[in-house]
Amino acid sequence: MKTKIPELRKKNKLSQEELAFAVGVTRQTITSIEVGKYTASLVLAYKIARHFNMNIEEIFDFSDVEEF
Amino acid sequence: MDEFKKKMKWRQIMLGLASVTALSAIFLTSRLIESPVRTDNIDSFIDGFQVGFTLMFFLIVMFFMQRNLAALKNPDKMKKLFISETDERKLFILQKSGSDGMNVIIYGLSVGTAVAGNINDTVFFTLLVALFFVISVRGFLKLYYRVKY
Repeated sequence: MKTKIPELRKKNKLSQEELAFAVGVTRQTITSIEVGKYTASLVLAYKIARHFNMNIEEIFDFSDVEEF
Repeated sequence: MDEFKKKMKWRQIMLGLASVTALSAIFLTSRLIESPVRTDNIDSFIDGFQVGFTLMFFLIVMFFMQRNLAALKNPDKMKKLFISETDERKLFILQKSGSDGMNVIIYGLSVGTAVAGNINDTVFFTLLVALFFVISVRGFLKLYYRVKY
């Protein structure tokens, strides 16, 4: 899943480590989410969105979620 | 975080008990090795393994005790420890590797049991019991989590 986390981090001058510490995960988790290897849980997505004062849909791109 | 702090204190007590048990086991095992009654009959490899294993267990317990103590004294370290223990990706990897690992173990034991049947009866039955044990643990855990969630 694509995210806008890298851009938002740069805009807010935040390192991966700082964002990770703020939302209560490891730096590796933020890295994996940024490169699209791992999909954040609803709770983590909410925490990240709240950290940037945005909605979840504004940060995470759900367009490639498969529907049957 | 208060809940986690309580958990850490409780964990320290349990680790303390584990370290005392490990020390007693090391002492008792080394006394048994020295005993003239056992030295004739027991393979020295088994004795060495028992002492080495308990010593390793003791060192691991000491490592965790020291890490927890440092975290209890420093709130920053406490949060880092909390994060590393509750990180969702880590837990996901743990769950995934646990279930995939179990499949590999069952497959390996099945092949091993079948092969051992042609070589040695004792090994065959040991592997068979181990295979049934692993399968029942897997079945029990599946049942447990189906009820829980």
